[in-house]
Amino acid sequence: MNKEKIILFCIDNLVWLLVIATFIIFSLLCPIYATLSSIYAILQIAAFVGPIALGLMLCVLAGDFDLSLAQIAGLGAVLVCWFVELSGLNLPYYVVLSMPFIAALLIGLFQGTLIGRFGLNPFLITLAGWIIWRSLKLYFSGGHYFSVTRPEYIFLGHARIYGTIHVSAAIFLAITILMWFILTHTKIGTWICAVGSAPDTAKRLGVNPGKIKLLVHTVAALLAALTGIFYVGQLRGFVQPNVADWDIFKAFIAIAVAGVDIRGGRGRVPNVLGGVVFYAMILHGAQMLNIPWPFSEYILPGGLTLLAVALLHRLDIFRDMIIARKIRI
Amino acid sequence: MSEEKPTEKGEEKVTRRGFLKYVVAAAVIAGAAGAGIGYYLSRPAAPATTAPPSGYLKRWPTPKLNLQKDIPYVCTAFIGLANPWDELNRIGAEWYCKDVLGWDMEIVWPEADTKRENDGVETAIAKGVDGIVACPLDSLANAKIGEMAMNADIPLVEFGIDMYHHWPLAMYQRDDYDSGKFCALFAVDELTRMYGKPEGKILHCHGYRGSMSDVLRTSGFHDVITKYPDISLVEVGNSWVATAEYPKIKAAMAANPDLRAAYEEMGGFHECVVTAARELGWEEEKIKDLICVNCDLFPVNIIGYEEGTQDYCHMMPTGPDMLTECFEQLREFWKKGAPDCIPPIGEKFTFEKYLPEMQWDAEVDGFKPLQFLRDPEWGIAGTKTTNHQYGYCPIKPAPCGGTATSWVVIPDRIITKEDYKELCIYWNWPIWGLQAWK
Repeated sequence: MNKEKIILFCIDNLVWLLVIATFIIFSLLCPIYATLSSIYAILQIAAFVGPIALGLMLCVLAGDFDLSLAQIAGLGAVLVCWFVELSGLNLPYYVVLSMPFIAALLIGLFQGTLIGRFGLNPFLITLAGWIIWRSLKLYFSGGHYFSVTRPEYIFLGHARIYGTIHVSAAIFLAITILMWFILTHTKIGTWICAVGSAPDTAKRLGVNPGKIKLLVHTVAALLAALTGIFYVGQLRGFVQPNVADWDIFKAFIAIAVAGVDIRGGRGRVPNVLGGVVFYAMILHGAQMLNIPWPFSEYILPGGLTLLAVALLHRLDIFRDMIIARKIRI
Repeated sequence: MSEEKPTEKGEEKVTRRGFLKYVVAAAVIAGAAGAGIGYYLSRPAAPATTAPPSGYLKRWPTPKLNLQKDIPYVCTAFIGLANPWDELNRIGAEWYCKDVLGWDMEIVWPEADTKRENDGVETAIAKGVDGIVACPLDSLANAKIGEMAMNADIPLVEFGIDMYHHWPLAMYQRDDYDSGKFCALFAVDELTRMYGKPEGKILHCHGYRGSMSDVLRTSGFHDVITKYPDISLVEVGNSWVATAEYPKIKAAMAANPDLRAAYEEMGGFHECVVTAARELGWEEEKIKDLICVNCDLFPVNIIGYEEGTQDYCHMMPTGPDMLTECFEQLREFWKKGAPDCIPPIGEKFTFEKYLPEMQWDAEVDGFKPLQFLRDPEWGIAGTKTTNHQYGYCPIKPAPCGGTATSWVVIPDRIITKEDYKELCIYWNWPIWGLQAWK
């Protein structure tokens, strides 16, 4: 492998270098950080941010946004609790667990149609969605805190595989692989990137951008619903009405660090995994080191994101110039 | 690395030197952040003020309502946070104001939006309400409520959170500070009982930093704990959302496996602590030995009691406690006018003297929520027992605690050092709360 390829590889996978560096630094500062238990905990944090980040990435790849994803996740969690505790209906668990997906499907189709079919602004539509789905969440919860303790409902968010990795983390990793395959080995993946990077060209080549946008918003909503089900189990069924309220920001941090181009068309699924893991590692490590809260909560993640984004921006230009042979290594 | 000239005019050049600039910039930012952390850690604690400002000049609202023939029309503004505390406030207000007193009520439910709360109250004033009962979301942002009430010459009674305005007639306050204090006392006693002396690490799970609840609960706890130099605190958290705080609590517990106690500022944090301990592979005996004290009592805490993981809960007043006083305060104002309707600062508050028409036997589904407040020792007005809070709460030295406005702290029951450990399972969270739940 020549020097140019090595540099391009490093640029394309910068987030993983950050992950490795972060892991080494935190492990040196706090040896417990490098234990298996700690790694499982990091993966569990990643599993709760991950599906929303993947959904957001899909939308961004197609040149859109979806700000409402975290609220869809929260609505999903509250819906499950509502059906179990407040509805008075004694539905089988598989029906109850399918409710968040049904709601997400309807929401995704609704928002996707407005954006894809009618060409409305995705930022404004999903911002409106943020408000509406949040209101629905509060309405269904009625201000109550839920305690859904039945094992079938908390399994996905709480259980572990033979005491090791959490089921939620395993599902997230499986979805990541599936999404990577779809985006890199199928026509749909190509179409999504094409619509995001050059919608007019994609249209001339026979791709229907409206349908692609409908698809990505629907899939993103379904992924968010999965996060909602994870949330039901995270604390053995203890769910608050404001669950997942600000998770969209975590997802944005993850995809920004992952180098997903916010203008659409460019982004890699493994890097989103890296971005999510990076975020989880910072959160976990900062608490382990007992860093004062203004730094651990805001300045550290915010500052690192800023640095990573600035660096990635320059590296993107650098990479493009190498590829275009405007600079030779 | 060699370079070629760009082929197009104005095209961006990236050189090794350019790269270096970013590395230097990153180093400068990292250095500044490091310096910031160093400064933060080394700065001295803010000096505590010991007394509220005095001599605040104010005028009083004019009692314009004739209770003999008029039915009061009252605006009640909640914080609209969609949590059980706020929900019970609403239920308690609707029950007492509408069902018991038969008054008309306009509800402002701003969903935690300060502007919406101001706007809602403004609309209610425009509709012609006779009085306002409000829990401001923010002491400063919602001071406009006081201003609007003053301009309209309408009485205003506050509960829960105060505001930077001198118009409020009276303020009915939760006992957040005492909750923290009694939690600390319990933890210290238990540490002494279990380990011979009060020493070791205590995990402090914070709510949203800077919120009045967090500030007061922290102050009450720290004021006791700092007297014991062998106790160290591991502080974590920055919101009232348990699912958001869980990963942080888990990380803090993983890094501090020798924790001996946990102070949980919110009911749901107990579930975080227990779940994290189990996830980290702590033995059940060790989890039960962890002294868990809490400011709330949610159903998860009752489960904790049953499991043997929750050791102590100190609860704060909710709807039937605070809102009833607010409405009765308005009634007294319309009867007597100000300042005769409110207790002077420092005086012991008694229902017989200041809210004599309290409907003690009012029922809801066969349950009499107000019975739990019926005690001649109940409540203290003004600053004599609450001035300790002025030194710790940054928003406290406001006109609200000035020379005129009465500020009444509501204890969840009468607590002494002898009986504070008693389990308050009868209190209105599990009874009134769970009824509302279903």
